[in-house]
Order: sequence, then structure tokens, then C-alpha cells
Amino acid sequence: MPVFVEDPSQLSKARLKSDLIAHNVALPPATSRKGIYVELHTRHVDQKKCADFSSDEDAETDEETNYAEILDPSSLTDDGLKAALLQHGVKAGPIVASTRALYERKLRNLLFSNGHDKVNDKVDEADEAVLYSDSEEEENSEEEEEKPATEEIQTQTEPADQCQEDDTQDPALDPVQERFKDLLADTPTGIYASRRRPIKGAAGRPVQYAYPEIPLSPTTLERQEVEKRLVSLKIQILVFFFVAIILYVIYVCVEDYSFNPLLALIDILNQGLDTDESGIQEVEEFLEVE
Amino acid sequence: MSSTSQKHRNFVAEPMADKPVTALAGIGDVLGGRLEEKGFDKAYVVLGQFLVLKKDEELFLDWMKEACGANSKQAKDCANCLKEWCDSFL
Repeated sequence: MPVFVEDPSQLSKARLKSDLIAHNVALPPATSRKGIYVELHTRHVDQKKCADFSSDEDAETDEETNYAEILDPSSLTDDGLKAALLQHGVKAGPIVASTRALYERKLRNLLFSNGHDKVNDKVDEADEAVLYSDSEEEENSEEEEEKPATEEIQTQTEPADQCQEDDTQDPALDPVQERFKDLLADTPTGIYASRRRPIKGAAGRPVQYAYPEIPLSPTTLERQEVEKRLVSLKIQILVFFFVAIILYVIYVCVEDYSFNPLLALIDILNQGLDTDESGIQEVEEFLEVE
Repeated sequence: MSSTSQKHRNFVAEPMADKPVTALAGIGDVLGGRLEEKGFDKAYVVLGQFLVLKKDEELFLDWMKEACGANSKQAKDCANCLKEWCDSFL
């Protein structure tokens, strides 16, 4: 990537600010004049460019100690701390009194691990340059950039596979960017907002009956799984009544040790439907017999 | 069913209202006392801290360990309890 030599005083304040962040320099208080930004920019950014041209070893150690010195988390402002965390791919929440200590600690851990990573990267770069031929440049750069990610998430074997995958699938999209899309918001300011579920019917809003798919809690998922396998309630009630009727019939049969009463009862009921009088007579007969 | 305690189930079943901090899963008398000393006297205050940390479990665990000396199991139970409560009521 070509390095443009630009006069810092010609850059805008916002650009200077982002440059400083990119070079891991602690930001001055937000209300500083542009001159202060320019000064820091010339001091650190230009110094870094000079260091690149000199021997790599010296630059490494200088930078490593510089990181620890310049980027002391406890001396950063809230915004600076948040920006530094974002640089490392951590989307921090509000930096309040109670959360500040936690985020500072987190940043320190990240700096510590990154400092070690960067040293390892530089050493490996030299080896890789010798081993790999120039025709495989793309895979080369991918492997180098992936090293920080491998520390956290992936194993050493994956980068090779993914390099090939990405090349065949989508050479246009930068594979590294693709992987980090989830961590880094691709808006210019790095801030993104997701829509909050609107309160039902509040402030004249129409009630949204169909919400987008929400991930359910593990308990809800478990409950649903279990309920799927159980028999539904209605079926259970039907079966219950069915069995109750069968048992009642059996009971009636068993009572008298003869099936006749039941048959007679059924006959009476049938005839009762045809004509009332005969039905009543038969009932009287039936009762006298008993 | 799963590995949640009775305390967890009780807490997650209804809005927390004014429940004391000892009603949270993983928080007993001792831890509850320490939290109360720091000003976290009700469950909703701890919920507030959880939300301010953007419901990030790792950060919340760190905070719990630092604030009341909870061990990782207690802190994890508390975090899970709050997370589930949020899923249902927030």
C-alpha cells in the first residue's frame, strides 16, 4: 500500500484524530486546538514512518514500549478509551464510573496480548517471505493479517483452508474484512444502532403482531422440545372420556352377570324414540321384572 | 429439567419488582451483604449494572468478582439468572 506523505496541517481535525487512533496514540482532550493534534501527528505518525525505513528490530522494540507508554488506559478520556477498545474490535458500552475500571483492564489485556502478537508477526513475516514465492502474495498477506484473529478464535490450520475458500468464492471482497464484519461496524464512524422492538401500541404506533425471529432463551427452547414429544392435552381428555365410558359399560355388564338388562335398556331407548306410549309401557314392564 | 436452581426459577418466573439482591440466583447472605454495602441493595440495581455492561457476561463476571468476591460459579449463576429475566421481561 503506497504511503502518501501529507502535510499534517493540511489534514482536517477529524482526519488527524483518526490517524492518531490508527497509530495507537493517546488522544488529547476533545476540546484541544487543531495545532495540538498536528503536533502529536507529526511527532508520532511521522516518527513511525521514519522507523519503517530503519532496521526493523529497533522499530519493533521502540514501538512495543511506546504502546505501553503512550496508550496508558487510565490516562485516556472516556471517549479515547472507547475508541481504543473499538480499534481492538471490542464494542464497549457506556464508560461510566462503575464500568471504567473494567474497560481499562480489558484494554490492558488486549494491549498486552497484541504487543506480543505484533512481535511474533514481525518475526514470522521474515520467515514467510523466504518460504513463499511472490506469486502467492495474496495468501501471504492473508496469513499475516489473520495472526491476531487466530490467537483469539481460529486454530492454526484454519487460515490455510479459509484462504483457499475465499479465493475461489469471492476474490472481490477482502477476505479479512469479511471475517471481521461482525466485529467492526462498517459505518464511517464505527457507530451503529440496531432498531429497538417498539412498545406495543404506544404513542399511536400500530401494534406489530409479527415480530422478526428472536432467538429464544435456552429454557424456552428446552420447554418447546419437551412439549413437542408429549401428547397434546385435548387428545388426553378425549382418551380419558372414552376409557371412562368403556369402563362404565363393563361395570354395568358385570353388575348383573347378565347382558339382558343392558340390551333391554337399549331396546327401550330405541323404541322410546319411535312412540312415547309403547316406550313407557315397556319401561313399566322392565321395572316390574326387576 | 435443566441445571437451574429453584432460586433461579423463582426469580425468572415474574418481574423482579422490589426483590432484595439476595433473591438473585448465586447470591446468598454473605454476598448479598457485600453488595448492599456497595449500594446494590435491590436486585434491580444489579440488573442496572448488568445492562450498562451491555449484557456482556464476561464483563459482568469480572465486575461481580471485584464487587463482592463472588466465585465464578456464583457469578455465572447470577449472570444467567439476569440474562433469562431480561429475555422474558425486558
